[in-house]
Amino acid sequence: MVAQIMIKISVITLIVLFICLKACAQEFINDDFAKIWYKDKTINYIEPISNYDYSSIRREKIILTPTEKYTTPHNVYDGMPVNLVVKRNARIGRDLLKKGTPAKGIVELYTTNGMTGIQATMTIGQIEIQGLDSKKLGYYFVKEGQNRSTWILPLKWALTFIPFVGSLTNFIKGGQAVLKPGDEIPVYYYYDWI
Amino acid sequence: MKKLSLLLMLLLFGSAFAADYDSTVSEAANIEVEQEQIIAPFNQEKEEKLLKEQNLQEKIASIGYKILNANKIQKPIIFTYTSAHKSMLPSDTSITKRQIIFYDEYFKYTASDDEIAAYLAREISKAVRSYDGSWGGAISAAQVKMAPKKYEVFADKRAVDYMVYAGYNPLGLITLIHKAYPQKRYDAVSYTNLTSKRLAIIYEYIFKKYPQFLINNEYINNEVYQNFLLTSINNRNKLEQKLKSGSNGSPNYD
Repeated sequence: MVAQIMIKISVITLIVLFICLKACAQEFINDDFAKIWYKDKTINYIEPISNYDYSSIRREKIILTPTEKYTTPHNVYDGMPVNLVVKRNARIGRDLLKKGTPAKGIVELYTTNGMTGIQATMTIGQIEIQGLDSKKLGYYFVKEGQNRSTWILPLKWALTFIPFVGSLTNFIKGGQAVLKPGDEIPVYYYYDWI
Repeated sequence: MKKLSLLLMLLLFGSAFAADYDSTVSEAANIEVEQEQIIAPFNQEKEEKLLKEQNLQEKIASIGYKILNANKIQKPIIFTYTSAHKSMLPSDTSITKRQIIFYDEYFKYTASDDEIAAYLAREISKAVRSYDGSWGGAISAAQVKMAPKKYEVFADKRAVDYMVYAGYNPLGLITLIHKAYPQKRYDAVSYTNLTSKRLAIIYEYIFKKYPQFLINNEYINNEVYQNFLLTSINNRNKLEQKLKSGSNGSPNYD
């Protein structure tokens, strides 16, 4: 009889302990939303670049141009794909990279325009050209809107003598960044980059 | 007899002088040894300090140049470690001299290479920006100073990109900012954004562009990251709602 009571008490104790442990475990915050959100979606994994050798200077210039118009801030967001084509024929070794060869990139980062004439910007990255190894491409392209700071700043300083008037120039905003067909995106193909 | 006594006297004086000279020389030698004994620890300490600084400089430079190389950044930027206090040196040399200074005190907040890389990547993004545009980038550099809130977010986002390509975990940027930047009451009239807002923007950026770091989250057991999750529940809810609604706009993060 006493043994049965002891067994019952120990079982109840174990159950209570298990419930407590579970409650404690639940206090640990999970960050599973990404797992749920991307469960049935394909993810573009970015491989870190750990091997490089920049000793060679052999390179070819390729000019790309967008196929459609992208304007901040309406139809632009970070990570947005950008459709590009090769603008002019380029010779890569013995091969000819024909005009109109499809390419693509993304808007890596865009900034909105701001006061004191600060222009909006679009940084284009992750460029891939059909038939070429993207690891061998070198570029840095930022499409900027009209930079009005170049004349707003001198004007602001010139008007500082009249109280408050100089500060009014702060309200002039910079231009929006527009990437349109015909704009040139220079990309270099480095033959010996790994 | 007189001659003998004179000779004896000379010998006596001579020996006394020689003994005095010997004692002077030995005293001088003793002083030198004592001085060496006093100075030696200082020299050793100085040498050890220099060696330590050299090692730290090497570490900072190696992480910095790794970020530059992996991201194919063709702009000269240098990295300097200093034990001087931050207030002793001019601020923001990243945009004026393209020199990124890593102060000794920053080590308090950097528990891993990811977090050191996070700090350097932020500064690199500003230094790269200072090369853009007219007047040798002077206008761009002035804009970074004129609109610090805008470029704070810009630097945070760009730092995430740089870190990913260099093989660092961008969640290190979240833990660094969460540890090192205090939360202000409001940011409406301020040069900087609310820390919680910055963190939410960075989290969203990683969520959209590099979700692999959240799916295979190496920081999930990190206490600082857990505290970030705890304090960002509202903002993460806003992100969830935004994603479910399919909007590309920016949620009004707290």
